[in-house]
Amino acid sequence: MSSAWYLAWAYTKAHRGRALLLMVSLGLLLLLPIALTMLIQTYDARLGARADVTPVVIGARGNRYDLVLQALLFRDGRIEDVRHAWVRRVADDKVFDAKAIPLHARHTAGGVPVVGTDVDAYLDFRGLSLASGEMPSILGEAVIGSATANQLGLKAGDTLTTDRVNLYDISKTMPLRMRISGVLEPSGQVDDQAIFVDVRTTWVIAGLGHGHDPSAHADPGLHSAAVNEVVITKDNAHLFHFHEDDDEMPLSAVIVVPETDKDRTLLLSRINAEPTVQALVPARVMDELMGLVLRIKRLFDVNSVLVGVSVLLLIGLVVALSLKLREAERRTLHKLGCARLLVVQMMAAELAIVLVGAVVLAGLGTVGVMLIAPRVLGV
Amino acid sequence: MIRLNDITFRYASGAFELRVPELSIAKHERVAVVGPSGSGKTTLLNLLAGIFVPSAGRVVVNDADVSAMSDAERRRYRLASIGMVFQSIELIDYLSVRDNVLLPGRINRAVRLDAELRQRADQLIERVGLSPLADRRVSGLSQGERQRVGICRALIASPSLILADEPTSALDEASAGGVLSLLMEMVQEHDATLVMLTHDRSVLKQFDRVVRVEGGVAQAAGPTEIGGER
Repeated sequence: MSSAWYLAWAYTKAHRGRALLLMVSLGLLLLLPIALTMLIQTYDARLGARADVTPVVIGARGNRYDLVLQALLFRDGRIEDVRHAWVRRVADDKVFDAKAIPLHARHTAGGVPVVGTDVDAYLDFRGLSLASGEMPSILGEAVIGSATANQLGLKAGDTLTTDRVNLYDISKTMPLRMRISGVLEPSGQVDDQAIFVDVRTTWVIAGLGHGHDPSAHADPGLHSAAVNEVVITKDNAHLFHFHEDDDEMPLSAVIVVPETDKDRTLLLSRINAEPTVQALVPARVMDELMGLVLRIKRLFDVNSVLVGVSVLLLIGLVVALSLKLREAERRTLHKLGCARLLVVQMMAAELAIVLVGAVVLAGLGTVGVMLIAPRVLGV
Repeated sequence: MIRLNDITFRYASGAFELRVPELSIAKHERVAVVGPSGSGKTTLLNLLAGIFVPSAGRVVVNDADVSAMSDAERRRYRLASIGMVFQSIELIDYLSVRDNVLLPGRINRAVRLDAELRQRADQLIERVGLSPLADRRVSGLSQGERQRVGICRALIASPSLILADEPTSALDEASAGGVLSLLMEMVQEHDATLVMLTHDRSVLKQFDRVVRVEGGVAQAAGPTEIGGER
């Protein structure tokens, strides 16, 4: 090790607290814009990829971003429900050819979204497959994403209870204890962090369907022993029914896959002529949303530059004060015969050590952010 | 052999001037420089070290004209020929005892910091009784211990001339006596010439000769002028 590096390292080691403080300050300064840029790129890439393979989404009129985020990420936004009738209307429409997949994602279990859908059609559409177990065969059965299985420690055959809608009002609908019929292969998409059930199951969770034991007033078979959750089994599944026609039941969105571009154009024009619903192309909406996010990011970038300049000025002040404090040391080195160049090299090496430390910290921070990004962003 | 002829040194501010009409110091001689504060003793030492360059006159050390050298040459001259012991000790606080002793070797590109030099550093440290503290940072040492490290540092490059600027004035009486004895012994062991500034007349008997600096003029003083204490 050269003398400059040796002395610089000795100084840094002796003042490691101060050096670490500088490293963390500079590291954060580097980390914030890098991490934000990478997060936005990840968000854009993942969400963009999901939006690109989701041709059209139908939902209630209202905020377009809410509807698309609800359909793509199962975020329960402020968008109103649409009637299930739209699934049939799309499928039956003679003007265009399209396949409709219902989505009803208003509830959670263990904090994870419960997505009511046509499970076969949805898994086929997203290219998802089972890693273990089997597809749901009766009401109340669910397949869960791989991340959900890991997060909640569940496997096929286990049960999972939906979160109570209103914790303080026990007169409301009781949670549903669902049996996990299968676990999906990891897909790297938000589907890994979801629970998929037949759309009718979500209607039961919503209290729109229930079971009766015609031979008795009470229906103990339909409820758990504590009578605080609904349990559907093969023995009692036939007792469940809905008082409304399926057409009148709610959905949060409908994913539509038109056969051709022409079908898509016709579908969009016909649906968007309706007063209560809207049909959106998710890729276009996401482009708009990312444009908005990038405009906000540019403001943040300007802010980062200003913060960066002030932090660098402060660090400059710290270095200047440190040089002032070490004037006696420089004078001693000069008296002993030390070359000025060596003193400069030593100071430069000290700065380099701090900078390298800051870059390493920023790098580790960035890796950490990227590891938790999918969970934080929910994409 | 050191010779100073018709030396005039003037600070840039012009507030002070030192003159040395003629001064010679023989090899292995131990010379004390005495005089009141502000008389120019330290200036004389800095002229001998090549830290200051005289406005007029010549400083010749071992046949080399220090006053005619460039900055870089004077720096190399200091590294090769001079060992300095400072009043305020001036160790590098974040280095260990051993690293402080090795510092002149570390900052001298002409010297290889090899096992031999490290061994010499350890021998010097052992000689001053600081072996158990060799790896400790000097910031935790007493003033007496620190000055002993300073003496080792001054001797590590085996210089022919040791310049000591009141090396005991910052020490308590007990430490001062020990450090001075050690310095004198080690200078003798290393066959070096010693020029030491001091205010303490009681130590003058340990020196071969005395130089008096007074009113900006430095000149050799005879034994009678210092009380005949030889």
